[in-house]
Amino acid sequence: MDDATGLPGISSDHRMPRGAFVDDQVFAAERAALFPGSWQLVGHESEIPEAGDYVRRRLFTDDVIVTRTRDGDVRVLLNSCAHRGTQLCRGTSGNTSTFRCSYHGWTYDGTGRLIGVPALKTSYPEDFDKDGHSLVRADVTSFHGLLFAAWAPERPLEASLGEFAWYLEALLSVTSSGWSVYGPPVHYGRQGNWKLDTENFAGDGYHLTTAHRSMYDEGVMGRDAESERKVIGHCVATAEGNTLRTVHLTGPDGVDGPNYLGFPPSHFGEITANLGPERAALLDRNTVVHGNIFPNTCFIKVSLGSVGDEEEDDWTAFVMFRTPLPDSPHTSTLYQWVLVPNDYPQAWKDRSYKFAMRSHGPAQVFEVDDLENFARIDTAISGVRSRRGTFDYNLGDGTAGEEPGWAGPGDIDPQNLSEHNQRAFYARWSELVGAAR
Amino acid sequence: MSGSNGTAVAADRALVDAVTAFLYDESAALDEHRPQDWLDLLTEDFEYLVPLVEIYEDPARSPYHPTTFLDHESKGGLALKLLRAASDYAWAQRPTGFLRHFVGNVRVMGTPERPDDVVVRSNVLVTWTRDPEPTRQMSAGRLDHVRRTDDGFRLSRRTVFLDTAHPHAAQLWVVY
Repeated sequence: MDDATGLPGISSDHRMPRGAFVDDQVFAAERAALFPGSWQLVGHESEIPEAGDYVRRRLFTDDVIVTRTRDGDVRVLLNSCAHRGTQLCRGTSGNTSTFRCSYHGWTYDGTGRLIGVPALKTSYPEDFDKDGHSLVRADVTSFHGLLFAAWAPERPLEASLGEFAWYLEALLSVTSSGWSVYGPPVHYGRQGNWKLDTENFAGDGYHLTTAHRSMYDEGVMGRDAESERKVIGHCVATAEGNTLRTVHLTGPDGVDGPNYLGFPPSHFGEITANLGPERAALLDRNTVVHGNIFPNTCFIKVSLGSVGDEEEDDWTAFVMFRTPLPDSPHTSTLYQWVLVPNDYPQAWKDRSYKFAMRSHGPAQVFEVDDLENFARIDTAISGVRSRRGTFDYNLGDGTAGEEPGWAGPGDIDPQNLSEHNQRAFYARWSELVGAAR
Repeated sequence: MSGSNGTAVAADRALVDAVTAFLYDESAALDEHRPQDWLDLLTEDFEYLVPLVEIYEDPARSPYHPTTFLDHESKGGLALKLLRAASDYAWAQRPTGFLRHFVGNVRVMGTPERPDDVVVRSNVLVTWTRDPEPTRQMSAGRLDHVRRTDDGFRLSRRTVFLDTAHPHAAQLWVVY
């Protein structure tokens, strides 16, 4: 219950208590009721192709090792020795046959099993239970190579995705060759509650023409000719709190048949065949698909005609996954991965990464204008008076017209500007966190 | 991608002094919010690279990723980023912050790829303050290619070796 508003979560008139974004008590409730049972992206299988490969990551608030065992399985292990809690891995990535603690030398294999204890025979009780001192293991499930982990999942990943898998399948089935990370993920610290990120990715089309106005002015959000064409937006949410927003261009573009903007035309046939007509409609003449897998796995596919360098301008798509990780009520750490299809030309992969970083990289204006707003929110609502009151999520309620619907599953709002998805995100959040409070 | 310094060549003192003075002037243009003056000091083919930092157990292995970049910019991209501060919609640049470069350890290095380039390594401490957020500072090594032209020195490439694998957003926004 928020002390100031009396609201445990989102209200029937679509308001959220501001305290949800700054209060220590809310953060404690999220730690207890939301993070342990939820699935979160921790990496991609292509980051750890060989036995013994590992990367150090965060699962919500905790430091974990994501590693491939000698049997080829992926394990997610708490990066903390079972003896005195020491951090085992301090690098960001590497390859090792065992994880050895730097304090007393306890040693674990790639599955997290304790295999070495110095002075075990001479100085420990005869019945010392080595097997009872494995590293804490999180559950891990691979979805098209994406590695999702959870400490104590309240249900399998498949059930958490629900109908939403249809959309992720559409995006990830574009290529038959599979996906790989372009390189290691970028990660950096930021000011602002983690949910400001997730609700933005969940479906905020409303901020574009204000927050990112200068990008339109500079022509980075599409060439004039294209930007004058009509756009159609859809917001989709599922009962699990998963969300997605799409924007399509309509009107004549001189292309017969499908036009998967930003993907190589030589692969259009493959895309059509893999996706089938209903799923293909998601990417046909699509400029952006973005969304959030509840609670904090964000993704975005963008097709851009330009990122400011005339000589390289050519419609190019990129696929980015990103996780805002909660550090405190006021700060988060963002990881972002760019995925590229394995059999696309290297020049396309390079351009895709460049477009991703030029638009959504941490040094660039698109990202920075969002960060600026998140920091401004955090600063502005952290006072005694300013943390009282609510945020409003009424945009698009009851305003949907008779626009064409959408063939995909989920609760569909056929509008470009709507907080339909944010309402769904906070409804699910309120079920878990509000109830716990 | 190597952040390793190697050994400086026995360049003549006058060249080191001239290059150092150029780097001071170039930094001053950034610190004093004169973006067009700074852009005028870049060659048209200027490349700006900030390699991703990965930390490995083996301290001998370079932490700077060879092909993955936190920032990879052309002159055009930097112009877009810096000149838009004049727009009413440059939210992250209005009001302005305080940027300060401290440039040191300037050394002229070995064989350049082009005869008209001078390869220069330097260290920088860069501070960035945008109230009410606290001051962010970051140290980094820089590897610059400084080209001799009829109009004086021009920067043709800059690679920035950040001293952290986990920066804060505010440390990635500044130009080193």
